[in-house]
Amino acid sequence: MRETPFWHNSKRSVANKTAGVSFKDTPFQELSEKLIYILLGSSLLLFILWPILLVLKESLHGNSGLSLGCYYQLFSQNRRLISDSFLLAVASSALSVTLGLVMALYLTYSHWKGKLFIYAVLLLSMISPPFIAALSYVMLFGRRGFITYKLLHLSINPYGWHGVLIMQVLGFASIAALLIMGVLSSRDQSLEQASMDLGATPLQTLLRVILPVAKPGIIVAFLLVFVQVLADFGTPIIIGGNFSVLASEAYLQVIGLYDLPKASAMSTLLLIPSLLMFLIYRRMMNRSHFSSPSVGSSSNELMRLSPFTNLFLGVLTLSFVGFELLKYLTIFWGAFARTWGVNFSFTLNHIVDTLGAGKMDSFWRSLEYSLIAAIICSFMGMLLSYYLERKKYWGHSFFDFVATLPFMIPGPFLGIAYLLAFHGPPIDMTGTALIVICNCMFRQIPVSTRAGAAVLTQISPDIELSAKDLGARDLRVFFDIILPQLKPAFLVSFINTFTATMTTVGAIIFLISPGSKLATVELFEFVKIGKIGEAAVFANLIILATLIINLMFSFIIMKRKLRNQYLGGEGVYVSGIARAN
Amino acid sequence: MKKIIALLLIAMFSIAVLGCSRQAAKSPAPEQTAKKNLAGTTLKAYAAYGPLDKIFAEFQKETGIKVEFLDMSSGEVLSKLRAEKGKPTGDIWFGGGVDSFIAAQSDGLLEPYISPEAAKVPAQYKEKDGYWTGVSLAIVTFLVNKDRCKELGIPVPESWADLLNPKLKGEVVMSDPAVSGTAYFTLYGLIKDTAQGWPYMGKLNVNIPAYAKRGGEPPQKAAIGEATVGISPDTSEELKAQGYPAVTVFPKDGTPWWPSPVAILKGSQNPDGAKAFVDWCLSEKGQNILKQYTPRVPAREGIAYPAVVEGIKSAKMMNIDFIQAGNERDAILAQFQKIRGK
Amino acid sequence: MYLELQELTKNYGELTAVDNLNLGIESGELVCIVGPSGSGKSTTLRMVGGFILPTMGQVYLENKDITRFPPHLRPTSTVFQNYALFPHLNVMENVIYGLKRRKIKDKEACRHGNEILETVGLQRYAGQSVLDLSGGEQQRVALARALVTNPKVLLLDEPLSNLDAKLRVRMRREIKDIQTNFNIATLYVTHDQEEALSIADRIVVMNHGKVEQIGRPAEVYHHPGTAFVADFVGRNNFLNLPDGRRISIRPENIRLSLDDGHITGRVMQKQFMGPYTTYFIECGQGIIQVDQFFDATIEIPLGSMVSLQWPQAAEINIGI
Repeated sequence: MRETPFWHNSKRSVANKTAGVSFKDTPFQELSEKLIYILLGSSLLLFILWPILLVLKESLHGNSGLSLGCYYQLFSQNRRLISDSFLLAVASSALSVTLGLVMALYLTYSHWKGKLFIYAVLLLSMISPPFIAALSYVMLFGRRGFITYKLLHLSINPYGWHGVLIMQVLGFASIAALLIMGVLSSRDQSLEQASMDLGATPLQTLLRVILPVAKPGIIVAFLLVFVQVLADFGTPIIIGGNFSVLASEAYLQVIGLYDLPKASAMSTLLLIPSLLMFLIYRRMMNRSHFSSPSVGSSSNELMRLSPFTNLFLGVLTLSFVGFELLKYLTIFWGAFARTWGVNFSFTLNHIVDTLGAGKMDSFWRSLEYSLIAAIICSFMGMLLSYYLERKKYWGHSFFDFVATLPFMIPGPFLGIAYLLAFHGPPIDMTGTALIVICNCMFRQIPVSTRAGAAVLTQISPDIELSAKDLGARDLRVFFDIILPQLKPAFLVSFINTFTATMTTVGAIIFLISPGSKLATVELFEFVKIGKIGEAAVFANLIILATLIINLMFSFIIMKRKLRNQYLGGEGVYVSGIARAN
Repeated sequence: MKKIIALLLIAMFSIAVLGCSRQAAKSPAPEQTAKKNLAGTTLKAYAAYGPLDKIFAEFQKETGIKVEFLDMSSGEVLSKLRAEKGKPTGDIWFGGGVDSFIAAQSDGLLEPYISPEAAKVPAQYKEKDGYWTGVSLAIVTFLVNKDRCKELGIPVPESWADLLNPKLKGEVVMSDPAVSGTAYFTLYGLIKDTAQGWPYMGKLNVNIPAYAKRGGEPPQKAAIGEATVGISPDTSEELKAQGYPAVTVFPKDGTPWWPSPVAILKGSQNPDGAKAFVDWCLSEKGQNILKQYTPRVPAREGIAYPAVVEGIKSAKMMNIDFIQAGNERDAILAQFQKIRGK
Repeated sequence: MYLELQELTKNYGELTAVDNLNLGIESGELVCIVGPSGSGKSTTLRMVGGFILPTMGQVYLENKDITRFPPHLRPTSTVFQNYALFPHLNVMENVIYGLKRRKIKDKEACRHGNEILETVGLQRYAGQSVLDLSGGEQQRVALARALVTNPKVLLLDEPLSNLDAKLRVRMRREIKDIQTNFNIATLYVTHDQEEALSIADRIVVMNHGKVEQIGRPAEVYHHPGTAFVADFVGRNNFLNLPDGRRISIRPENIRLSLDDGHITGRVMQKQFMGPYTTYFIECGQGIIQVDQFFDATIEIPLGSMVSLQWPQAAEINIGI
């Protein structure tokens, strides 16, 4: 007969005392948990699904009920527009992914100490306000551009599809590079070594092993860039000239002509390839083998590319970096030049004019809205990812889908959607701060949720089980155990939402009112009026503010190791998606 | 984790404090005016009228009412109002093409108000029931870049006919008439008043590389030299003041013009403030201030013309029936789309 | 000497991963490098393979200094711990990869490929994706791939550590067979001393970057040069004798007796291992392991006091 140790009995009684499970507790706990889930789910339906459905309905608006009239009209009269949009998107995406690939390879394999600087420039270009690139392009390469006219005495016409193509390639190359770097950073280095070991030169290894294995990741980068290029309306508007695309036309249809059905139809046409691309992206993510780095790889030295290859990659990369720096320098300088294009003498007038006279209101407002949206969106995202990833209640895959929808939606589409949904009963948010904040928030929910999910998959479910085993209730588990571990995801989400809201124009341009003007709109207005000096000042302010807040939060909240992880593959991969226009 | 929350709370708190203090700082002590009780309220405006910040600042000095505004072309405002369906986010609509105002009126989006000051405004510059009242006369001019002309080897164009010069291919910039009142009236005037009609427009279209998507773009482009001629609603004094090599030309064979109105939006949250603004615009003081910042022919009788538009007295003004122009807007725009041919 | 490592050293800042290693390998010889994690064995292998540049020292192959040659210019072939098979190529394409880089035409390369696949028993899998293979099969493909290019030196980096115990035992026999048949100089890194003992012509025992001992397996096992080697290779007991000497003695060399003796202790635990039973004796100096081979006459119950006896020849002197 086995003896029971003497301490058994008292443990049992202690266990009874601390278990504290009474009849009242359990059902209530579950209830509040389910309530939160229902709340989250409803908000997703209300603020994402419903507005989108309204746009689809609007596009089917006919003289007597539903009809495909708008689409018919689009396909018969605007075929050129459709083909232009897609051809441009394919070309821009292909070229920018190629350039991004070159840069990613250089940053991965170069032994140059200055790599970090290049990386920093790439990150910087992710936080620029929109159409700043287009503006600086005109300032430098226009008819009276600084480089073309002042230095080279050429007078070329920068407007048209060629200008748009160049600007889009330059604009999206950074994000392509960062995405591909994420893929490369989780590569299996032993494959490279094996290839060289078998007699392949570094270049052959690159072409025959590294790139083929990275193909899924590169395709994903292409798809993500493609979706964003399709949705880009700012660049074609500023430097397109006569060249239009669906995105810019949709904008004009609303702003200029108030033809909501037509604009809705155009936006829906943009939605379809985005959806398709996204489905393909999902399939690839599930299937592809993002293999974990091999054991002991950290002690191995980086494969050295031949000097010629290095030079080739390096020249292209540094040229790009040069352009980016030139862009920022131009904007910085533009704030101090008296009259750009004519009189480049130094002046502080523009700064004085801008900082006074109540113009700063929109800037503070932008900061406010961005912070609020960032905080709420991040919390929601964390909660949502927990429910969807771990709890998997009824309807979780449906809500997962809805939460991901904003990814695939061009900015102006969601703006029109909110216009249709919330300008009147039953929910009227016309002209309030709320409609803008909600729009920005829900636009970034996919990123927050993805970030949370990505981190959660790394956390073993056993941790939660052991917490419960020790007596913690579900919500307690979330706040004590899960949330602290979600710090990197929270940070990714915060930075992404904050930056996106600070720099967004596309969606909100339809939603703002005189009382809720944002910094980017102010910027747009300056550009409209032709006050380049003031526009430059504002652009600098936006860039600085975003940069400072981003850096501040990264350094304070994250320990070095986590920060590197975030800046490395994972975080960039998740957050580099769906930049609002 | 607690650190994050604390940090964020501090950040939000500071922003809120900053926001409050800025509100407090901006509410000035109420002046001794007739509308003393309105001081400290806010008026929301859609406007397209020169240096809006300075103009509204003057208004605030006078009445204590702060104005928050969006700079939008009148076509854009019309669209927005139509989208807002009678629950507007603004109170006042100021400047731009009267065509959009007329369209808005017929859509029932405006609130009539006959200001006591309106008695001094001639009948043809205002709507009889007070739905909109002209503040000044917008006149279409060419803003011509002298240096570009030299480069192209042509004299400064002086008439619409001159604009058809083949050397000006790709050099003439005009806004999209759907968006900009200036462009709309230019279009309307050209097809109705000149003998040339739609065919002229077709020919001019050749010299126009692209229609600007925003109202203020053409003069801006001409000023910086991206184009040679910009069709402008004014003499663009601001641009010239910045030092650009540009001159203003009143087209000899016909200058389109229209009254640039002010109107109160139906459903405005601050109707008293809106009325105060209308009164101010039409008052002698207001008219002089407007004239100072945007030199135009004032609508009110008895105000002297600003020097730069003296030339208008000898120019040939086109005869345009605004009401009809407003009513025909949709049809004209549709026709225009065909002409420009994509 | 076919392959010679002279004064090979690798420093990472303050840390010395490999410290002044000297080793000569004959043509056709299989040398195992054993040691615990972090002992520098993999680093050594990678320096021979060309993946790591030594801080000091040279690598000579057939009297030619190949120290600074990159991997693709060295006549060495490596089998990696995780096999490093190219996932986007099938089995045959993986195997002939090296041949293709030497500009050998497809037909001829496939011929060689089929030959080598037959050697490792995988000729039926030639067209399959490498991702569909089991661990053992993948390992053989990696081996085939390395051998088909006729390298002068074969390098194996813990090739069996990802396989389960039974498979490991079978595979190491196969590897030994192939190595003997090909008669190729081989450096084989493992942390499993049993593996090393069973297949090596010579063993190199490493610890913290330094070589502890080089020798034939039997030599190293029966005459360990240092306490570390004695403890690492095979199981071992350390004893302080009453006369002041410290010795090491293998469990199988100790006999238990219920009579009295110089070293005595109490039986704390027994583990039945199949061919023998291991007794754990607490004798005041720690736990001593004793392997008793099946002897029907003596069955020692738990808790008994026993004495330990061993032949003098089995003692390994450690020091005073």
